[in-house]
Amino acid sequence: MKTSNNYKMILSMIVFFLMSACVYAYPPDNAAVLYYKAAMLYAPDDKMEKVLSDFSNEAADFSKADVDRIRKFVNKNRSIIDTVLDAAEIKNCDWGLDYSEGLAMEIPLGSQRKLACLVLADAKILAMDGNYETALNRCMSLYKIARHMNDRVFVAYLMGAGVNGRTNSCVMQIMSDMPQDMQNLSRLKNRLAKVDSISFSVKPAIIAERDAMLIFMTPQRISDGVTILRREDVPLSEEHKAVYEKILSFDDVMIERNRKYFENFYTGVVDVFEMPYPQGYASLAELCEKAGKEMIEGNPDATLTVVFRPAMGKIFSLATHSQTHDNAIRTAIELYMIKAQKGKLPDKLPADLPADCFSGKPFDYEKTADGFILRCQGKEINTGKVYQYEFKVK
Amino acid sequence: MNIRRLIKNAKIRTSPDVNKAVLNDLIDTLDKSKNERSADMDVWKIIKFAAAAVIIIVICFFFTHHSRNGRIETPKVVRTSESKSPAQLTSLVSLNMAFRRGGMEAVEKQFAEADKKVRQSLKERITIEQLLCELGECEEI
Repeated sequence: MKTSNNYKMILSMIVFFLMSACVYAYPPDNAAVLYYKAAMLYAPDDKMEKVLSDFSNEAADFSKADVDRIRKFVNKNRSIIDTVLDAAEIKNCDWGLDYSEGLAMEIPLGSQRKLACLVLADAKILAMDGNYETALNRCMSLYKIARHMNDRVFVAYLMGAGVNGRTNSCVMQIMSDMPQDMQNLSRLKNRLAKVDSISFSVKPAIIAERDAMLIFMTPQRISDGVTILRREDVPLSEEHKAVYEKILSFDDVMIERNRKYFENFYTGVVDVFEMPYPQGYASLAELCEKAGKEMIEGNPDATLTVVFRPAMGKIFSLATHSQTHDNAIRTAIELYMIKAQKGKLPDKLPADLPADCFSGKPFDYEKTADGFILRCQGKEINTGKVYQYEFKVK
Repeated sequence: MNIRRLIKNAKIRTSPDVNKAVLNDLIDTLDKSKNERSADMDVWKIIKFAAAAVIIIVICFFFTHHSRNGRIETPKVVRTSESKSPAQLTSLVSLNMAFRRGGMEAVEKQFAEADKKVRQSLKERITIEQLLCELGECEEI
């Protein structure tokens, strides 16, 4: 009996210690908690915010005095950087978005970009000091931060893609400056493979956005939806006023028909994001044009689709650009590795390397006096831009 | 040139020295009057320009401020972000609309606007004294 009591006591003590360890554990199991904490404590003035944003984008144009000023600022905010880096290593990130609010839900991710610029500035200074290893560590954390930001809505994906793109530019700079030996390159390749194992796709956002909009396409919530749209649509044109009035006059049957139209439209959109860029973009334009035309020609079923749909073409192009930039870096690593092994860059691009997503074809490869350029074979349709990525070889 | 010829052809007997002196005096006087006239003209020009500028300013002022009296209605530019709360600025629909209008730049601007508002409200700090007062400890301060 006494022995049994002892066991019970030991067991309860173990449970108690385990529970207390869970309660006070750092870091918490939700990265967003640390991001929010860092955002609360980080307050750059407008001028420094702009400087950091420019520096994280293109550090080359900065004088030594400017860099010293940034270095001082970065060191002053070291504890915030450490908090963000801790957060990046946490697997789970839940921003606490209330999806039941649909389109009215708040997306408090604005500070994330500022925090990312701070960490990027730190990475760039580390690289300038020749500390490439730690600089790349920062970049890997930033890739994870970008993936944490991608929380099921387009805006969150696009904010994440922005951080991802800036980090890609920083990695390109480090790759051009660091000793391009096999050890460094293999390590970088493996690190990027780990980053790639964490999904970074626009597809979850397509579904979540659709659901957020559908919440307002019910007889109970339609007037809330119109109120929100009116608030955003200022100054309100007579034409828009008329459309909103029309929506408010919809009966239950009409709302249901609009809902069905919207669901079909979105099925088409989901399919588009699976297509190669040129076909996908054309199909998307066709889908949006068709809905607009039908509404004008008097089909009321298309009304809510036209009013609620986001700027799909731009999103599709940005997602394609983000993936293409990632692919350019992975292609470049292979080229650097060939250079490290054989002493010179190949004359032609080897087969089976990641493609330019705008054309679906391999990058156009051009050797230059001090390195190489990877150029897209396809252009971004909405802007007409042809992206190219320049790498330097030592 | 004509003055020179006039003096040369005049039926007055003068010596070449006198001619030259008179001519120089005349030319000097003429130059002086010409300068005075051009100075007068410049002053007139300035006065005219100033009058025109004043009229334009008055018209602009009239159009921009007179609407307060309710007589002339000018198109009102509504800065939506100024009337919105940070929560409204960062709502999904608001950010989507911003993206539709101006891409990521517009979204980032909107986030910055929301952030600015939040920071402003954070500046309104509560002091320890106020906090203790709220807790009913005013007398002990």
